[in-house]
Amino acid sequence: MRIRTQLVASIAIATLLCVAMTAGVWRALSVQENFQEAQRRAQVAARESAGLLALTQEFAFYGEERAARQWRKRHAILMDAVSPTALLKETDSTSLRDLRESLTGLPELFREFEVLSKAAEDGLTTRRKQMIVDHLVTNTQVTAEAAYRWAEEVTEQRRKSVRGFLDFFVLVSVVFTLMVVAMAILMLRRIIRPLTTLQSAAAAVRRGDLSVRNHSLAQDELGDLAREFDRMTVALQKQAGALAEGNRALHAEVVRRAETEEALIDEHRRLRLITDNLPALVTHVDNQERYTFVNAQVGRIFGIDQNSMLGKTICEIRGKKIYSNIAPHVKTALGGEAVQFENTGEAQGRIFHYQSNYIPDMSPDGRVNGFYAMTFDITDRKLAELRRAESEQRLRGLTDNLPILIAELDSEWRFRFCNATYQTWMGISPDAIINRPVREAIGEAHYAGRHAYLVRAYAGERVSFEQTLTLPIGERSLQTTYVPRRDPDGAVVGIYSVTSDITDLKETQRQLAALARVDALTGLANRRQLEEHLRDAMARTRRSRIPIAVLYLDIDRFKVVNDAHGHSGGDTVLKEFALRLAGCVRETDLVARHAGDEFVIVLEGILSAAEAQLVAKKIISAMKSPFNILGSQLTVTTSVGVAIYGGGDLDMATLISQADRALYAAKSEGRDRFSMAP
Amino acid sequence: MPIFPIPAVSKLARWLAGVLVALGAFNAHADEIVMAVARTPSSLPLFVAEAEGYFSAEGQTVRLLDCPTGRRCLQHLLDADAQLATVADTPLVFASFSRADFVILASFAKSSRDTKIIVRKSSGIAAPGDLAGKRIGVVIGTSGHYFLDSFLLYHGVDNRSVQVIGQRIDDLIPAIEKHEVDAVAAFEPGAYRAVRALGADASVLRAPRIYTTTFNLVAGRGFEGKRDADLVKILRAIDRAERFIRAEPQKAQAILRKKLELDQAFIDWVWSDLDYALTLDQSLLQTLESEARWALREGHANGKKPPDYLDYIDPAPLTKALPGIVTLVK
Repeated sequence: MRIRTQLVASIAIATLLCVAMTAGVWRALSVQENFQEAQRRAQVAARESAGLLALTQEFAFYGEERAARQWRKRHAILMDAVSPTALLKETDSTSLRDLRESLTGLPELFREFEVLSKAAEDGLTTRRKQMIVDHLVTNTQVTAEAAYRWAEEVTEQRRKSVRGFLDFFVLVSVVFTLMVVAMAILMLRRIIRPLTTLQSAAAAVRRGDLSVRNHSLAQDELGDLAREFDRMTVALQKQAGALAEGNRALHAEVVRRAETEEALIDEHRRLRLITDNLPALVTHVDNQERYTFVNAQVGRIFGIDQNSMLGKTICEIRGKKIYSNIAPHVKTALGGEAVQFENTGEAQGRIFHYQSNYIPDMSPDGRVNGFYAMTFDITDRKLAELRRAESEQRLRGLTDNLPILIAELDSEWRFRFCNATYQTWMGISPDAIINRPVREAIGEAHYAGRHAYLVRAYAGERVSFEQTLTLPIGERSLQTTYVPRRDPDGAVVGIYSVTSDITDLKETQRQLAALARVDALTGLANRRQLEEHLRDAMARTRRSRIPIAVLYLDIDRFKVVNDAHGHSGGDTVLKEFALRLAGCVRETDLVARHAGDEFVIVLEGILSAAEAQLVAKKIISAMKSPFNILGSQLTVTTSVGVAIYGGGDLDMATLISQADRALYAAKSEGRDRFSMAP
Repeated sequence: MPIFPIPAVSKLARWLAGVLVALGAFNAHADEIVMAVARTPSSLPLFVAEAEGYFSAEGQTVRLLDCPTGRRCLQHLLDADAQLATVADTPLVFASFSRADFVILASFAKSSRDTKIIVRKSSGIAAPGDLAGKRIGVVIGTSGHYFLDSFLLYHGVDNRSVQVIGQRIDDLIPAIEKHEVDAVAAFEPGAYRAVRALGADASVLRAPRIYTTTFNLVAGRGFEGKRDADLVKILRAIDRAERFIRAEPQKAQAILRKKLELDQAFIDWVWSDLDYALTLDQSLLQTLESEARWALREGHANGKKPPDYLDYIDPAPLTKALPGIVTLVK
């Protein structure tokens, strides 16, 4: 129900109640008036009927005319009191009816009694008088009682009426109060409560809470208002949402920009810090060739405040002379091309080398705003380069003149360096093989012989090997050593190769080896070779059972010769003696100088002792011719001991000892002869 | 030899049985009150109280004993056939000369027109004066009897000049029908029956309002003292019935019709004359005394002076039942 309808209904009900109450009060008042009148009349009736009763009895006793008049007067008053009027209708009752009825009958009786009282006394009259008096008194009594009852009745009715009015008044008051309470409750429920809710909602909106909703289901004006409020908050919330979103975006943008700016400032600071601490001169020049950025290094290098450079042109700062040198590079950079160049300059009295990089500062649209210039002091590097070049020259000069092949291979098995000896020895130009793979540079033949060593060297092993090669300079023995070249981490990054010519050394070695097995005076096998040979021959005999013979001999009376002709005479004898001995045996037989003038001959593959004896005789015979010693002729004889070894457990020393003892036997027998060991 | 001879036992048994039967009868009817009620419109409050169960509601077991007239009802009371009786004032006056063993508890109905003089027009009676020398039927000792004398004397007709023919109530109507009488002085419903019986020949003589018949509740003397509490309840039941009559006249009339086996025409005939209210006023005393004087004067009763009727009235039960109603001062 609409509040308006409800209020109208309430007002209507209240009005009706008021009207009803007014009507009730008015009616009660009028009824009261009626009752008041009725009560007054009833009181009159009661009073008059009592008087009437007394007058009746008085008249009956004394027949006073005055009493009769009074009786009629009172009766008339009584009749007037009970006469039906508009007012008395309301209080019409049985007692009133009785009263009226009894009153109506009284005058007839009274008149009859009056007549009789004046009539002459006789039996009938007396009986009639007594009868009528009784009836008159009784009826008057009845009248009085009826009047009394009527008065009682009216009083009771009036009391009831007042009570009824009070009840009505109380009822109406209660109803009115209930209605007021109901109205109040209704107002509270339907108006105040929704209004409070709305007020809270409005307060919430004021506080900024736009999510508040009434969700009113009431189908009344406040419900409409609440729903309109909800629609308003929904709209507000949407707008606020959009606004908040915008604010958020704005805030985010501001934050982002602030961060960006901060980042830029940081970046700039960092950049400034970096650039200030770079060992480089960093500047930015605009397209008017004015400095817009100069790092601290510039100030340090040139000994000026770098900020004083800002806004000034290159020419103003560097001077016309220097500017003329770099102007082409400036033009190039401002033309949009990066440029790098090296130059020499002077600052604070020091000559220095520098390298400059000009990088164009291009707008996205391709316009050149200027350029960044980064200049590095490369003086140290330049000097180092020069020093290194000198060192390399010196090294090359040394290595090129060394009789060895020196080369360096990189990790890719390419030549990094080789000295001029390669040209001399191998006919390979160093320039031609630099940076070429080994295989390709030295040819397949050489490479094949070295591959295995290279592999080992690249694996980290120092490798040396010898080879005999046919080179343009002839057949040469070469000794090559590969030394792994390691980086600081220990990894093999290349190989140093050193090859020397050991051909001469080899020959010398060979000669030295021969010298060690030959008696230097006679050229015969020395005692060492004898022992080697004899040991081998005895071993062969033990296997083959082909006997060998050992001939032990010396020069008879060599001390005499030595004493007579000195040691050189003695050596000459010994040389001649050896020479003759060698001519007496087969090439496969060994003749050795055992010690001093003692010689041993080993005969292999002899068929019998006789063969040995034959050789012994031949030797003795060969010595018969005189020896020419320092211009003089000398006869020299020899004694020979012969021992035969046909296998078995006999050591070399024993065998030689047997031959020696046989020699002594021959000596004992007179020299110049031979003796056979037993 | 037996201890008790058989004849002796038999005698004792019979005596005991008699006592038991008497006790049983006494017990069975100990609380029941027999009320002799006249079959007249004036008895309506009693009929209503019975029909509506007001006696039971008051916890009373009341048995109504029908009697054609109040006089007969009083006789039942005096014969101890009933403890209570409804009776008009006149029979009480007549009884008071010979009996003092009853008391009036209250009047419960009044009517100043209950008793009427119905005449046969054909007998030449047009006015009260015409009654002289005529035969007038009446039930002697009833209000009809008193009313007839009052009527005649009021109109200057010597009652001794008319032939008052005493009738039993049942014979009154047939008497005028059969021309045995020229007129009857009858109370309702006899008057109505007489008018109906005579038809066009009937005439009701106009009567002055000289006599108001009261119908009274009477108890046997002694009963009222012992059973006042019950009487109070019975009086309350009667008061309730009278209020019912005033509030629901149609229903009350229906009860009356049924009880008296009469039609609505009778009700219409009698209703406006009836006034049902419990009273005990000075006027009752005066009525009784007036009638007593009349009875002695006219020689209907023997005696020198009327008895003191205050002795015949016990206002206590009614005073207790309905305070403020009793105006009689005893």
